[in-house]
Amino acid sequence: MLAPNRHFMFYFSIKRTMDAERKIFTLSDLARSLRSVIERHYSGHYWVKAEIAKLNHYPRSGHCYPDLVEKTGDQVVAQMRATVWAGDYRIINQKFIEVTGEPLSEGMAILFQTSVTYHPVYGLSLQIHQIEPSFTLGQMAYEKQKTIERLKAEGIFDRNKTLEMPLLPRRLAVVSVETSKGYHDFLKILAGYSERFTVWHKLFPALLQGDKAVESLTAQLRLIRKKAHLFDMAAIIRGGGGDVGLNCYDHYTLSREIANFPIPVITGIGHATNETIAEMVAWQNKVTPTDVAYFVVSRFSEFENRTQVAQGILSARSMQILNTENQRLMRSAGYLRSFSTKILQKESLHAGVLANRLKSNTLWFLEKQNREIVHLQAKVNLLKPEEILKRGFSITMLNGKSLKSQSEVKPGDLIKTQLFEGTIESIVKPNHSENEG
Amino acid sequence: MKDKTTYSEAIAELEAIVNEIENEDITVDELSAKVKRASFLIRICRQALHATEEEVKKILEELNQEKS
Repeated sequence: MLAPNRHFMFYFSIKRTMDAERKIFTLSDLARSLRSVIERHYSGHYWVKAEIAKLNHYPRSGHCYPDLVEKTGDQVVAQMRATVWAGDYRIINQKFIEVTGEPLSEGMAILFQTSVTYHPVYGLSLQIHQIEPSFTLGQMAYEKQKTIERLKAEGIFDRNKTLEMPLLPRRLAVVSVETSKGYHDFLKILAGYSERFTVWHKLFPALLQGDKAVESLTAQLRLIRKKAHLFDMAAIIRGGGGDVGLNCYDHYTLSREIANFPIPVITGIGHATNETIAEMVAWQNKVTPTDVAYFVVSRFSEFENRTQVAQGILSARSMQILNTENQRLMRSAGYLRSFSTKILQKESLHAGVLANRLKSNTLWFLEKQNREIVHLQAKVNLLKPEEILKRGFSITMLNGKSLKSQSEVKPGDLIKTQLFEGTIESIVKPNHSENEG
Repeated sequence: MKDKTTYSEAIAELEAIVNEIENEDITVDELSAKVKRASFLIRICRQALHATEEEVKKILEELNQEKS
């Protein structure tokens, strides 16, 4: 397909110059010759793969003049200019977006159908007629897979997910743009709960899609990183901007920044196609801005529910404890009453028994004593003088004193003799002391 | 005896006394003093329970008001 060297130059129609020795051509001669060779020998349409180094799209004219390169590593081994005319560009780009979700942009590998043109003024150029989007899609998928593997190899792919989300995310760093519909949806939901929960947020404006998004998003994330201690989490919010130009979220630099972020990152970049790497490495991908907002408020309402449940349990449990203690106390008081009464009754019974015993024993004892006394009395009675007198004994007294010996009296003494009944008075006879009565 | 008897100390002591009395592990000489002490403990416990109940109700009530 390519022109062999031996055709070089000598296929031109050569004009002879004034100088017979040397053949001198004008530039246009050479250009025309080149053009004719190229047109003759590269008349077909060729399928070529290359990388878009620069897109050079001019929106006013609609034409596009991409710089195409082939690289080995970082080394450019081939470079050519290409042209896509406005009409072709519209169709090609639209079809390209439909398949890949991305507009044609710099850094992409493309497979295109081209014809080679040469213009005397503008030089060699490849005119692009078609681009095969599935090739780029495959390349993008391949690149994406490589980026995923790289992040995994670096051990940071799941790093953001291992961070602990604060119980109540109250301070949010929001990466979005003021004009984004998604950002407004997000704010609207937070505002709906503002009476119940206070969520503070700061906006870090960034481009959210397209070529410059990686740089812009990464720069804002790095800004937040410097003040990470001021925030509980970061959210990347996008929505309403169409689903084109989201390739940036598969970019290594951005994905690495998110994976390595010091606080949890939640994504809500709102698209329906495959999950991007940024979303994969984020702490959680909530897809839509509204769901990010609901995630935040649900942390608060869940917490509120939990405290309410706890309050209910607290209330029921304290009442239960108080009831139990009350019953315990009542039971003790009841026991105390009945047991002490019982003891008293028992002791009183015991005392009664003792009293009875005391009583009967005493009576018996007294009776016994009484009998003894009666007996003694009888004994005593026998010894009474009257009893003796009764039996015929008498007492002789002198001057009121009983006489026990004859020697106690002299003749002429008046003595009295006491009998059981009555007394006898006598005078002791003289000198008859030998006579015994 | 301490000045401030806690509820759990008081009820433990009360139950100990009740046990003693229940098991008739007590002489009549002590009975009056023990019953007197037990009644005192019951009063303390009742007061403590009542005060706690009032306080708990008040706190829970406040919680309810905060919520609404």
